[in-house]
Amino acid sequence: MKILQWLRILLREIADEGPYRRYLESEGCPDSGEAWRAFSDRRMKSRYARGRCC
Amino acid sequence: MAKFIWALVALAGASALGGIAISRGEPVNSLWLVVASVSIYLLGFRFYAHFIAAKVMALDNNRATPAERLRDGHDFEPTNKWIVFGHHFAAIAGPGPLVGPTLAAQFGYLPGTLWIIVGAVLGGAVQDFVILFCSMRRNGKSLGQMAREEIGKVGGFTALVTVLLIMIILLAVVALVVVNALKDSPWGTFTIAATMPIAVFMGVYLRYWRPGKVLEVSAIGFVLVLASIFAGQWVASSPAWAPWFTYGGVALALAIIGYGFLASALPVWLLLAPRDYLSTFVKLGVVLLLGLGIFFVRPQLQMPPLTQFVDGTGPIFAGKVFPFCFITIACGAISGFHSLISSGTTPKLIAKEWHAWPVGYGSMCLESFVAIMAMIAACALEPGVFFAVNSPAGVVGATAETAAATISSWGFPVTAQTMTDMAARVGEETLFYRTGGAPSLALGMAHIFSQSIGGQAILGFWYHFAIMFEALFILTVIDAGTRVGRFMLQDLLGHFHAPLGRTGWMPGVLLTSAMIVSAWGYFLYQGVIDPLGGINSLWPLFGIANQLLATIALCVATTILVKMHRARFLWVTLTPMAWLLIVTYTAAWQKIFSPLPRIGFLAAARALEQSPQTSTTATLIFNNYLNAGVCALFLLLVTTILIDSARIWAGILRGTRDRRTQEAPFVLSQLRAEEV
Repeated sequence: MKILQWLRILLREIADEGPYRRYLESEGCPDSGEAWRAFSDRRMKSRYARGRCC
Repeated sequence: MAKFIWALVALAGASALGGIAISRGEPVNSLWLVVASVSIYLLGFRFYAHFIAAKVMALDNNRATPAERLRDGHDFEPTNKWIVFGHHFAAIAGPGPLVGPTLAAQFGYLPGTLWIIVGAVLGGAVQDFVILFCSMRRNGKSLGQMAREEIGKVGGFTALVTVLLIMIILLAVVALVVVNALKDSPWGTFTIAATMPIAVFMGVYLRYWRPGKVLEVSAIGFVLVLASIFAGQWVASSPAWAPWFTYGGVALALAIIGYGFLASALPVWLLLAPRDYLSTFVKLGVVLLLGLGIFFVRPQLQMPPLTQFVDGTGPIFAGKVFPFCFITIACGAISGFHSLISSGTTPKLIAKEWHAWPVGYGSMCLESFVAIMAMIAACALEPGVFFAVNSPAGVVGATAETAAATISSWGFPVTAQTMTDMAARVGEETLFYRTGGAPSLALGMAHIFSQSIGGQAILGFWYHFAIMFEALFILTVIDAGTRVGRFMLQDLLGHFHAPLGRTGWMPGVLLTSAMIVSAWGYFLYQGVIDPLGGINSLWPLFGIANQLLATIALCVATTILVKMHRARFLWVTLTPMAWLLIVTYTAAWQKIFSPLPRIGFLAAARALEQSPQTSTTATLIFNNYLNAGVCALFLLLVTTILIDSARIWAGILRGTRDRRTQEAPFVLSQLRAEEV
């Protein structure tokens, strides 16, 4: 059961759903299309500025 | 009790390793490789990595990590160590650990397997772990930033240029693997082409219809990709549709180059990000599936432990087992690219310093195990089939009969009929000359999967599922890598003309995207037209480049250890670094100066100059000189960093140079247990 819970959290983290939830909490804003787009743009900008693995 | 268990693990590892090393003349079960590797990873993790963590780096859980000190809710966030472990593993796992071992299987299973295990435990995992530690103590700084601050401006600039060049070679070689896998394969080409509209659909869905529902849209995308594999079978068998998806190498190369440009210039949410999510989930799922498949099927290794090709006459790539086995397998043993990930997102998520132990060292052990699984999948094939798939026409002959006769004469019997039957079973016209490693790996994986689920009846599905999986995440590396390369180039060019450095200025975006795509596209093109299949020249170049990047990373790590008063433990980083220097400098020297045209670029150019001159010959001559030049440039760049670093080490150890580091000051951790 714990493994499934860990797997769910891991998948949410890889899918950026965990970081998005934390973003909403830290910014104090509700879930919305605007909020997701602002979060996603910022996250993608930093993600694709770094080297990629082979 | 614990000591007794560890003694048992050591005994199991030693027995399994001894078993595979001394076995001759009879097939070995793959389970021996699994037991040997897992035991050694466990021992390395428990004892060697613990020693490094406790004595060399002196990890301290009372010290607040950047995730705690700079917590901002998204980039910096203290995260559960197993979540970070999974995240880090997903980031470091690319096509390299799958393709490299498959190619190195031409030496037999033994040299590659030993290098994967020993290289990871003493080199690759150490590099990942130490760089993660260094970055963690420096607010999550990148390798380039650390090189600039700890070694100097020359070191930092050289590191940036080296990473950019290596990225170009990487993108070309992985694109070549995809081209060779999809050449004249309407089934495969349709499936991969279908992933592009699927990715765009996912992007729009995620951006406007159901914002933030990444898992939901990834599940939809996965179902659509599976459907496209079935549709691909229909397309391949349709006389009307098949020609639309049947292309030669040059056409596919141009398509991938065009795709790379679009992916770099288009908004990231439209194509790159949704494909990246999908690719990561498929990657993790397939790795798990392959592990379960090997565990349940326990295939026999058909490949001998050593083949006659250790003497350098191998058909897949030329060169003796030393040094070429050690540069062919990079990512499964030691990969410089991992240092970019260890100094990227991961250090910003570590909650407690000791979490770097499983994350940095443990993830690399798992990655190394993926390489072992790839080796098993490749070596479970009949050697004759393996060489028929991976050998270029320029080596084995241009017809199926001559190729089969040549390969059989090496002692690996195979017939043209066997290959025709096998090609029909997987829905391909032919499986000859499919160089690059991906098709033979897909064939090996398909055999393992089909013995677990579905039997021979769905071998074709599993083969194309494996091709889809490999191509999907290679294309993700290509589109993300092109974009990253564009940013690096903009960063460099911005020093000469400020607007070029602005990532929002469209003319600059288009110009730098075109420059990056042209650079790797040219190497891809030369690989496609190479009569020896391209892999023979490009993969060693990539291996040398990747290992030289690891040398730079270990150089930075050594400099930091010297500054930390850890001179007595320098052997921890200097030993793998010295080995890499010996291997890469020997390989690079041979690739440039060997008198054998199949190995040396200059000798190949001279041999071509003696042959009748055509426009293709002129291009091939230029390409060989270009490859020799690139190889020499890599050596020059790394030698510059090495000399610069050695000067600093000597100065510090003699007491004539300031040993101050850029380490962030100690702050007491306030994290509560439930937050970790």
